[in-house]
Amino acid sequence: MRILTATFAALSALTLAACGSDVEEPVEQIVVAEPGEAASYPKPDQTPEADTPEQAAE
Amino acid sequence: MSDAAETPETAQPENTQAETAKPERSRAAKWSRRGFIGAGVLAGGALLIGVGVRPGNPVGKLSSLVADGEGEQLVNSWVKIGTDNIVTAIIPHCEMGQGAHSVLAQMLADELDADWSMVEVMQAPTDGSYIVSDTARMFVAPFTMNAADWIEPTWDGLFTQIGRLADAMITGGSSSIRSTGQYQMRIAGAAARKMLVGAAADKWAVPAGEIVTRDSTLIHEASGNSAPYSQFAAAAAEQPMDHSPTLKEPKDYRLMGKSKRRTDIPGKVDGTADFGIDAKIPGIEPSDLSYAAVRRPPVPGTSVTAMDAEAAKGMPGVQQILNMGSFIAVVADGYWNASQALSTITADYSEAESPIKTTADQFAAFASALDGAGDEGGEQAASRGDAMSAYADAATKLEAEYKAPFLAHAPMEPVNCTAWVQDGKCDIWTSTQVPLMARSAAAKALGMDADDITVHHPFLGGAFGRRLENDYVTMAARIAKATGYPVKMIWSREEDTQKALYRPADLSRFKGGLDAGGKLVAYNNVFTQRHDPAEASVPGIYDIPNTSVRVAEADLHLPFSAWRSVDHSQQGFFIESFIDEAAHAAGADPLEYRIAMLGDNTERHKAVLEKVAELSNWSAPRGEGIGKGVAIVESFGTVAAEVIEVDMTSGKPKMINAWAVTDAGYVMNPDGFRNQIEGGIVFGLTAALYGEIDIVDGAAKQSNFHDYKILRMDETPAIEVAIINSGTVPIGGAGEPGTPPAAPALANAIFAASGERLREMPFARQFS
Repeated sequence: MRILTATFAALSALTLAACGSDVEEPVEQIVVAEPGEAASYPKPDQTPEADTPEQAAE
Repeated sequence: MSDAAETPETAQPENTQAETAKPERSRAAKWSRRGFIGAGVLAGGALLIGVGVRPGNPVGKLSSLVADGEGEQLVNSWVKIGTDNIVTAIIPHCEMGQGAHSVLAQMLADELDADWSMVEVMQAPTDGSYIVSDTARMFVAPFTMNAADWIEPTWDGLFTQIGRLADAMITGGSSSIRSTGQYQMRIAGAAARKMLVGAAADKWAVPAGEIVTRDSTLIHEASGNSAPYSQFAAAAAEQPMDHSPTLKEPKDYRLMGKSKRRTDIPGKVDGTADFGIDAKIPGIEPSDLSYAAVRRPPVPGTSVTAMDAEAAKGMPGVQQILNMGSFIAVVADGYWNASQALSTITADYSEAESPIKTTADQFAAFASALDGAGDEGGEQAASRGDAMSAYADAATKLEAEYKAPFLAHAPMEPVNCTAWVQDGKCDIWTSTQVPLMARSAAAKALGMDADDITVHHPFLGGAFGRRLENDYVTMAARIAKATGYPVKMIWSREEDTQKALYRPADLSRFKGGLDAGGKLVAYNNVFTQRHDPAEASVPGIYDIPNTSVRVAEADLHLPFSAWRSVDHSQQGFFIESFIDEAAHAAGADPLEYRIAMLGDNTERHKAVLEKVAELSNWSAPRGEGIGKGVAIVESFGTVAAEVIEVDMTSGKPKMINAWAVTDAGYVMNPDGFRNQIEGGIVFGLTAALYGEIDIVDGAAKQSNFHDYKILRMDETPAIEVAIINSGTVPIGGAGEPGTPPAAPALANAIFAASGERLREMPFARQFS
């Protein structure tokens, strides 16, 4: 079973490599709003518009 | 149907197995794997049994993970017995629809003589104490599985260390039942039962051998004593432990071999089951959670060089826009808003180094590798006799070239991962087949210690190998680190279909020679992709005196990932199509030809072929335009023969029936096993008819289920699965073996019905 063998070997290497790091910082980060500041979809306490006439009738 | 495993569920004999005499072992029990067992007492008297207790286990940490009730003490555990007499099996494998949670619990509960109606399942936490070292051991060094007692501790210790180093908490390779079930769950159950009996014998002052166990109850008939397990749980923990308890013989099984109910089904029916995508973050209202939609460069190996996100900034709900170099992410107050904003972003990408721009380029690269290897080049995978000399002398010569395309996994649950990085710690919620590896991958991406990362892994909504990879885990971890708040990242179906990892395409060339009697005496094969298992490319069940199998490796443009049955998925089609061509060239019945060609140690293969002939009424006359095709593949320890019946009267293949006969040695849950074989057949037929990922401009073309089609209900043949329990040791797997024979059986059926030999998958577009 080469794949499992290879997997274990590769992941052993990964584990060892994790002693270092593979950190990638954002090349570009645009902050538009903080969570809670930009809510724009119906929250649970808001009733969405009906999708169909049948739903509207309900 | 040959299904000796199924007996009425009402048959529940008492276990009167003597405690002192070990019964003669049947073939199915002819292994003596030792388990290292620990036990402890939970507060309130609950008993806890674990296999795999070794020096250095983080007992305190485990207590908080699996037994966090007030004052509870944990040693290590695969099973705990509560004061309410509930038996809880702690399962180290994930549940992705294959039913492993239930069957593993079934195996433990049977050896424990537990009342199945009072058995619960707990997903083991992501911790090094729950590695499945026996799975690693079974694949890497199967010869150690029945080691002598004196050497067993060495092997056990070695593979425990290897397993921990390799983060071997893995669900794959159709291995859960045949490794963890056989070598850990059963031992834990049997050991716990023996300790309970010992405790009761001491209390009642009766010989242990006179105590019987039934439905989580200890009974001594002569004295009239009886008690639930819970009453002796605490005392049992003080009993000496048998690290190699006597396991039941098949005749004594009460749960194993029975189609017991699956523990995961009720929640999936009523909607209460949690999958990775359902992740709920403690302290965060679901409506307040942030979501990320992501886009990776379309061509593998390239990166984002520029991003224009001006329009996205003003889109509703947008919180952050990230160019991470390897991908773009939009974080918003909901997935829809995130994906809508992402769709407005334009980007430039780096140039691809790969010269392959199209599917034709990929196959040209394969052909070039095969041309370079010729008839006798490349790396030898198997050799017997002199294939090319025998080919030169053959009375009848055959040549064939087969093609298999790239395939996506397309699990129903979209790829997703939720992450929260705070105070030097990280929590990950995701559907994964490899939670410890996910933890290490996240640690590497974040520059953190793995011990500071917790991976929560609920049910998986399918995987098929896709969730052996951790690309999405590292992406979510990086997004969460950048934002500083929890984010649920969800890939669109298009993202996963076009930018994931794939079952590799392959090209395989054959030359075959028949002697004057029609016997295949020369077999020369060279192909380009060898991943796993190595034996997948070898026609080892057949007695072919001159065989040469070689691989001429060629680079893949799209990245590789294991896909249900891995190399068997292509090689099964190649080999069993070519054998069929040989049968027809010999003027022989394809099924009888296969039986006649079988080599040594193929009693199981002969039996499944004969049974599938009977089941499918193979020898019955067929109408005009109706054909039956057969194929047989042994994979993951299970022999599977399938017959597909197809109607070609409309000019296009319409599948009517599929019959499968399997020999997995011993099937622990027949209903669950059939479910897996049926699913494997549908998976294989889907790939055979429709599966194809093309390369256009260096990118994967197909994007969603409209152009990456899945077999519909009305296209699916009626499927009948028969099980042969030959008692073979070790037992075989269930999740993958149903897939490899499906495509060649269909191709062979189409040939039988129409005379058209299909050597290239997918088939459907060849009839449109």
